[in-house]
This record gives sequence, structure tokens and C-alpha cells, in this order.
Amino acid sequence: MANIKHRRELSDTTLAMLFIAPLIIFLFGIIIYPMATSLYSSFSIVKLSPYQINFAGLLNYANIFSDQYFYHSLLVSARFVAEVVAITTGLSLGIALFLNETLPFRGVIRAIILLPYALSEFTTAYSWRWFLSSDWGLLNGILYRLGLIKEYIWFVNYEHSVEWMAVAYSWHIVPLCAFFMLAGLQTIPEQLYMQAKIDGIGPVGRFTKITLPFIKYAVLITLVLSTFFAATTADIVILMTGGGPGISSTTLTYYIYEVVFKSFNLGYGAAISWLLIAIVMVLATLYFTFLTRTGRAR
Amino acid sequence: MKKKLVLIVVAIALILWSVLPLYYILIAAFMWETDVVSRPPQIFPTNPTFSNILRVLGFPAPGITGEMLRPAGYPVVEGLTNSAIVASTVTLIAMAVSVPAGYVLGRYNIPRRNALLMLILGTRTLPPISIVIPYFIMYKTIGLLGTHLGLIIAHLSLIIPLITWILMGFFATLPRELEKQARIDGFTRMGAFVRIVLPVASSGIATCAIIAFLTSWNEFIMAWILTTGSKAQTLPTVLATMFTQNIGLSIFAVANFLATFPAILIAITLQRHITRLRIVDPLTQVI
Amino acid sequence: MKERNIKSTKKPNELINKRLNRREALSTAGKIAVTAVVAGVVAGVGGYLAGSATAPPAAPQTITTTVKVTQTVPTTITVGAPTTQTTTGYRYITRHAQKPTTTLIMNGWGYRPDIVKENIRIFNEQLNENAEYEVISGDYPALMEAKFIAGGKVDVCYGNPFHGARWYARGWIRSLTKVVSERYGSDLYKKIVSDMYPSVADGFTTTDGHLFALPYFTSARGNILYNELLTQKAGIDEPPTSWWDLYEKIEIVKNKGVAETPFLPHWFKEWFGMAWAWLFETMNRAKSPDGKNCLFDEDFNPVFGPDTEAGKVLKDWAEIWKKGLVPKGVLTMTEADYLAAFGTGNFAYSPQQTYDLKTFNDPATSKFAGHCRLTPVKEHSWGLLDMGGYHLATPEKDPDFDRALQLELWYGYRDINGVIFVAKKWAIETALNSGYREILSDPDVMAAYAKWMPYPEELEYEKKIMEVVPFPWIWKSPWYLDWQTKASDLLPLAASGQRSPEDVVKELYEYAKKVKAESGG
Repeated sequence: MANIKHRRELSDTTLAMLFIAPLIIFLFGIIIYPMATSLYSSFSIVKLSPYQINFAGLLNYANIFSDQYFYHSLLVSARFVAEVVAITTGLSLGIALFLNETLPFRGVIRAIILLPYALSEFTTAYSWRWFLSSDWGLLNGILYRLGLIKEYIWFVNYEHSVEWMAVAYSWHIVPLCAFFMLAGLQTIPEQLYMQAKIDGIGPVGRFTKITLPFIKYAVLITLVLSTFFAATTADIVILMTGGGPGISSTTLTYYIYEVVFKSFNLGYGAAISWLLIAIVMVLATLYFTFLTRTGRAR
Repeated sequence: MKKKLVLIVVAIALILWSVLPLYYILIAAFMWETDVVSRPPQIFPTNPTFSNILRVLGFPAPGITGEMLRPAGYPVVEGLTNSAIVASTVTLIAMAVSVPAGYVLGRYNIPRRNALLMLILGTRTLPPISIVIPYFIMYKTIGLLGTHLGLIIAHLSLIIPLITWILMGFFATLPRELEKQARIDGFTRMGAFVRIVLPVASSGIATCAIIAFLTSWNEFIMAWILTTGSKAQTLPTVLATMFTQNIGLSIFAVANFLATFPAILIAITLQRHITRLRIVDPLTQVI
Repeated sequence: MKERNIKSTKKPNELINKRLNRREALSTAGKIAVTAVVAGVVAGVGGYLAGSATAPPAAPQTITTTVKVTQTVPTTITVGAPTTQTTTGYRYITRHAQKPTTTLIMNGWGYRPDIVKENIRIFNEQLNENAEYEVISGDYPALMEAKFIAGGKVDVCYGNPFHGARWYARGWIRSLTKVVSERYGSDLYKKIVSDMYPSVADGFTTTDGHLFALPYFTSARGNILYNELLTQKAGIDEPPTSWWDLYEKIEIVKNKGVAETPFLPHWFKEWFGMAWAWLFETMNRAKSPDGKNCLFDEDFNPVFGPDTEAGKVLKDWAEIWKKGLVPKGVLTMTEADYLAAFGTGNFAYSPQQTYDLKTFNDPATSKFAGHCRLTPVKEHSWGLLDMGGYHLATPEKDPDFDRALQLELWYGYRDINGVIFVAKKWAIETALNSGYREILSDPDVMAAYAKWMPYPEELEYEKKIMEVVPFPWIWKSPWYLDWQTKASDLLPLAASGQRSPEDVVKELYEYAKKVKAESGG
């Protein structure tokens, strides 16, 4: 083995440090500073003009616990996240399995399936808003023309606004997750399935014993990403339902938007934000420990 | 045979699912205002017109009675240009930072690796609506509000953690012998990285670049708060101008229609590379 | 053949010749961006060529202004009453010898930016100036406030009266009383105020007597417009005389089978939607010009409760919802949706802006053009005084202050020829009424109105409406917006039966007290 020592080289560690350096600089310079400011303001009362920030201990957090609208928004967010995760994981898996088959026009089909992800949340929200409109929406129109309904349905009502928002949001992120899973599926060797068929294992068994292990990480990524995205997005709420009707679809992120940009209560908004971050981090850690514990035993 | 039938049905269902919600807002761009709200809706415009598109792009065009109307007066082209500038710059910088970092985190066991992973994951959990406020206040003091640079930095805070994380998992899938073989062939570590690893990882990197570009191009809330009304306003911000006020549904539909074009181009390009973006848990792959 | 990732079995050497690398990928991304812009430009150019080949661009009705280059403009100001001023030209607006290098910024919301841009262009031409208009998108009050907080450059900006009150209290806008009197003399200031309708001038004045805005548009928002095709079909010959009469009439329309949901209520999801509906309906029904006896009193204390008129309004709302007289989707509509909805012609009655009488008689935006009617004042006023104003935000120490003040005066009052140019132009082009009395009696304006108004007597209705339309006193408090947000969140719950009206009224009462206390009154 030729160990060419006379050339000046970087050692493993030096190379690693060099490569990581920009990321660290970036993280500390660009993200940590605003995060720290935000954290500090959550413990303070912030006045806007003139701008002054006075330490107030746990006052904001205490106010959160007596705020019924906080609990309401928390429940709405939880419901929204659960629905998005369920729909996204299920649909992504289904689409991935479908795309894994031999198909004609593969490029065209893939491009069409990717389209909702390539659109912005803005267009997603508005497309679905118009699609579901109870005055001139296409969905109502189709059902009406097919003779299935006599009167237009009010889809985005109090009971179901969160569900429809979840559907629209899943529509947007499913393509990305589907393709992560697809990439995993395509590494599975054909022989394994053939062997399994010979051994007499049914389709369900084949799925759990052969398919799942190969896409385990992709499924994990889907769960984590869909949780993060759904828990932290405010765009779709602002644009599709405006938190309404009333406050039925006011997620925690929309509530933060109202608190910060309508009531200009920055300290309170920051406190709610940090609670949200804490909850999401706990969820993420749970996901990882649960799903990688088995994976680690390789 | 039955399988083929099932596949065709599923294919049609998926195509409808992907396209149908989008359909109406696209064709509304070609309809007169009063036709857009027809009940039941027109599947194909019975009275199509290009006036709306012309007016949004800045040209006068005839109205429904034939009388000439002014252009719509919204800075759509400016929005497009700004979005392009911001998104391209964000992609370049994000890739420059994330590719080396993802490579190292995905394949080497460096000291405090777990801490770093948690840190990256943590920054990914920040809701954009929360992080935009300290940026807003920060920018007010240092004068970056309403500038391209300000928005670029804000977008990077969203995108770098995401892309680093995906790339981490991706680099971990590359064969372990890659670097060893390169060393045997006489490359330095840096040389190995540039000449061997990068070309192998090219598809995954290309995909991540496109995801980065897309995320920045489509990002709404930070762009809205940090650039609204300024010279640097991006396309989603301009679109936001059009949605509350009294402007007419078909004009608004045109703006969405224009915003969809780049999305279609991107979808076509992306689909070629994204299937090669295999990812595994980087914690299980260490050299 | 299933695609396989076979990289794991290939030797690294063989992969050196991979074509695509990072640089190429990025250039692909860059190419996409360039393609998008190029596609847009190509489409635009193609469209322009196509457009110019078919029709000559005919300018819609505009006022032609000849720009005089000399400084002294020999015109006289002729207003209703003779003035004591010298009549040797409008000396308050001056043209620059050299175009300034720094740009004045005017901010506003997105109503007809095409017209505003044109106005600014004319301003630049008349005064040899350098000004620009920038639209603030979406949630105007929130974003404008954010801009002020951040110290962004604003010279002149739109606002409703309660914005102005709030911004003035925070020192973000100037007192026109002070700056106009100081720099141009109190004669001009008094003239400006006397040229306005008294309620308009009052609406733009703080409780301690400072005028903080010049009028942009005035309208009665909440005026009932009706589709006479539908009402006549239901056998109704007279417009409603009051809110109670209206509610009876919509039941008739439904029972006759003429419309499923005859009434499109002002309950859409904007900051000027449902909360304002509550304010105006209460003030109309309680015959109050300022809401002091039924909403908020002189000191901004809430005086409403479940048994007051305000509470009864909410109960009526819950009733008509239950009876299926209103379209449920209105709760998430934007203003554009709301206007489009009434434009379909499927609704018989709806509270709208008076100036939208033109929108609904215009075939481009309405399916029942020529048949949209205005309800006159009978038992009580209709709606509330919705005004927009132009505020001056430039600090006095700023070197561009005098130029900014000129922009404010030009845009909000008279141009270089002494004509109330911008207000007149709005009235002619979009039927926006002005806060200046002389506009509605101007022959050009009246001729323009006659062109689209199907029933000319309605112009008299409009004048009467503007005389008696109420203005909510609470809008002068700096904390109103905060309460309004809460009201917008909770009122839909009461109307749709999710919570009882009594509950919601009580909660809004408590919230108002809380916010008032927190802000120090």
C-alpha cells in the first residue's frame, strides 16, 4: 500500500473540521443569535416604540397556562399534525409502491406526481380554497353535474376545516416523501421476493419482512419531516382558511401570527413559539429512539 | 392482466389527484371575471380571453365590453426576478455549506457528532413564523429590511439545516470502500473528495440543489414580512398583494398561473434525479 | 426492468467519468430561473405584439392635465363660497427646477395600483419630482405598523382613521395642523378643513385637535345594495326601510323560491369585515351617530351587553344563520371573493360600499349590471363612514420633509393648477366619493356618474347617505385594532351557533376593558 507521506495531506480530523466549519459558523452566526433573542424575549415584556425589552421572568409562560385560546390552538395543531402525518405516510407509501412498478410514460407520470410539491404553499392554499368553495368550487361543480348533490356543500366548515387543511397540506408534501421511499424501494433485490414466494410467504409477510426494512429510514424521514412541516407551518392556515371559520382551524402557529402581528405582543408570541419548539423536539426524539433502536443493531 | 388494470386505474386516480385541485385556478386565468364564478363551473372556458395575462404582464388589453383596460399595475415581473435572484443565491450558498458538512456528518465519526446532529435537528424545528420576528428586529437595526441579502440569510436559516440533514443520509449510502480505493489509487483526502466522491454523489447533490431552490422560490411568510413593499419583494409577496384587495379573481388566477410555470419545469427536471436520492440513517454508517 | 442502484458493486475508478457534477446541477437550477424570467418576457412581448395589432390602446376616461412649466399658474380657485385669498394662482404647490435625486415613497394597499401609479407619474411630471408608489400586500395595518417599528422609509401612506389615531399616538405620523400652519400659514390650513365635510374632518382629527390625514375616499360601508331582478321577482317593490325590514324581506325572497340564500352578509374574513358589520348595524339600529351610547362611550369604555342593541344584533345574526338565509361560506371569504359572490347576481341583498354601486353595474364584474340599486335612508342611517386618508410620515428633521409635505398636499388636496385633482380622478374613474364637498357637485364628476348609474336619482340618495352616515368614536382610541382582532375571531362563533351570542358579547366586553386598562386608556 503506497502511503505517500511526502505529499502534504490533511488528516482525517483536519479535513472534517474544515468541512464542518462553514456549517458551524453559519449555525452560530445566523441562527443561534436570533434564537437567543427570541428566547430572551419570551422571558420579557417587549414594547415596540420605542423598542425596549424588560425582563419579566416566567410571566409570559404563566399567562399561557391560563389562556384558553392557547389550549384550543394546541388541540387544533395536534389534530392537524396527526392527520397530516397519517395521510402523508399512507399516501407516500402507496405512491412509492405504485411508482416502483414498471410503467410506460414513467417520466411524465413522475413529473405530474411531483407537481404539487413544486408549487408553492401559496398556490396550494388557493387552489384548494377555490376547489372546495361552497359558492363556485370545482368539487361542488363536479358532484353537482354528476347528479350526486342538489345543493352545494359547505366543505370547509367548523367541523372539518382542519381536515381539509390537512388534505391540502399533505397533497403538497406527499410527493417529496413518496420519492424518498421510492429510492429506498428500488434498492431491494428482486431475488428476495422470488425466494420469499418460493418459501410460501404471503404478500403481507413479504411486505413486512422484505420491503419495510429497506425503506425504514425513508419512512422515518417521512414521519419526521411531515411532523416538523405540519407543526411549524403557518402559510397554509393564513392563506387557505385564515384560521377560520371563526377559530376552528387556528393552529398554534396561526395563533402566534395573530399575537405577534395583530396584537404586537412579541414576548408572549415568543413564549408560545418556544413551547411549540419544545413539543416538536420531544416528538422528534421519540421518533428517533423508537425507530432507530432496531436499526442500530446492525 | 388484472394487475395491469389496477395499475391503470391507480395511475388515473393519481393524475386526477395531482392535477384536479389545481385545474380551476389555472383556467380561470383565461376566463372573464363573471364567468369564473359560474355555477356550475365551466370545465372549459366558454368565452376564453388573453386579456388577463396581458394586463398582469404590464400591457393594456380589452375588457369584456371591448373597451381597453389599463395593465394591472402589479410588479409581477419584478417579483419573478427577485425570486430568481434570491433562490439562486440561496442554493449556491446552501450547497457550498451543506455538501461538505453532510459528507463529514454522514460518513465520519467526528467528536461531538451527536451534539451536532441534535443541533441541526433542533434548528429545523424552528417555525418560520417565530424566527422571522427576531430577524425583523435584527434587520431593522442593521438595515437589512427589504433587501435581497436579508432575505437570503433568512432563507438559509431554513434551508441549510434541511439540506444538510438530507445529504447526511445520502452520503451515508455511498459505498464504504470509496475513499479507501481512492487512497490506494494515490489521491489525497481532498482530492478523493472532489474527484471521486462528488461525481458519484452528483445525482443526490443535484436533487438537493433543486429542493433548496424550490424551497426558497416558494417560501412565503419570511419573504412577505421581510420584503413586502420594497424593491426586493419576491413573487409570493407580490401575489399576496393581489389576494385581499378588490382586484378580480381572474387577475389573481393569472398570477398563480405564471407562478406555476417554473414549478412545472422544475418538476420535470427533478423527477429525473430524485429517484437516486437514497438515504439511510447516518448513525449506522461510519467509516 | 426495475432500476437498480448498482453503484455499490462498481469500482470507484469507473465512476470518475460521471458527467453530471455539482456545478452542472447548480447551473441547471440557474437555467430554470433564467428560463422562467425569459419565458415571462417572451410571453409578454408576444402578447404585446398581438395586442397592439388588434386594437388601438384607447385611454379610458381621464382628466387631461396640461403641465405648465412656468411657476406662476394664472388660474383662480373658484369654490362654492368666495374666498378672501388672492387669486393669482395656486401658490402652495411649486415645481422644482431640477429633479431631486432621492425618491419619495408612498405606501398603500392594493386597490387599483394602476391608477395610483398613474397619479404618481402625473405628480412627478407636474412638479419635476421623484416619487414612487409601493403596494403593501395583504394585512395592510399589520405590515405598515411593522414597517414603522422597523424604521423603514415611508413618506406618505394610506390608512383608515383608527390607524391614523394609533400611529399619531406613537409618533409615527405628523400633525398636519402643526406643519401646514407653520410652513404655509394657518389660512391654508383652515381652508383645507373647511373644504371637507365636517364629519370627515372630525374623523381625521385626534381628541386633542390635531388633523393627521387628508381625505382619500369616503364611503358608507354597509349600505344595502340590492338586485332588483330578484326582488321584483319576489314581488317586492320597495327597498328596505330598516334592518328589521330587511330581515323580513329576505325571508320573503326565500319563501318565494327566488333565491336559496337571499342575503350576503358583511361577514367575510378581513380586518374590515365582520367586526365592522357589528359596529355599523348597531349604530344604525340605535340611531347613533358615533356609537357612544351603544358601543363605546366618550372615554372608550364598552357600554354594550347581551340586552343592548349590540346584543340583539348578534341574536338576529344567529337567527338568520339558523334559518339558512345566508351562505355559510362567507365566513372564510376574502374581499375579492365577497365582491365576486355578489357579482354573480345570486343574492338579493348585501351590505356593500356605496362606491361598489358602480362595480355591480359594470358588465365586466357583474352579471346583473344595470340592475343594482342603492337603498335610500329612511328610518335610520346605513353603514358607517369608511374613509381612507393620506398620512405624512416623514420626520420633520428629514431633508426631504418639505418635498414630502408637497406630495401630501398635492395628493390629498390640490395640484399645481389648484384643482382637487386626485380626488376628482378617483370619483370619475371608480366612483370613489371624496371627503371634499365640491367633488360631488363638480360637473365632470356628475357627468361621469350619469354614464353608469342606471337610476340618476340615486346620486341624491348618496349625498343624503353621506350626510347622516355614522362614524365610530372608538376608532379614535389607539387600542381599537387589538379589540377588533378578537372581535373578528369571536363574532363568527356567535353567528353560526357555535357559542351563544350572550357569551360572546360578554367576552368582548371583558376583553375591551382589559385592553383599555393595559394600554393606559
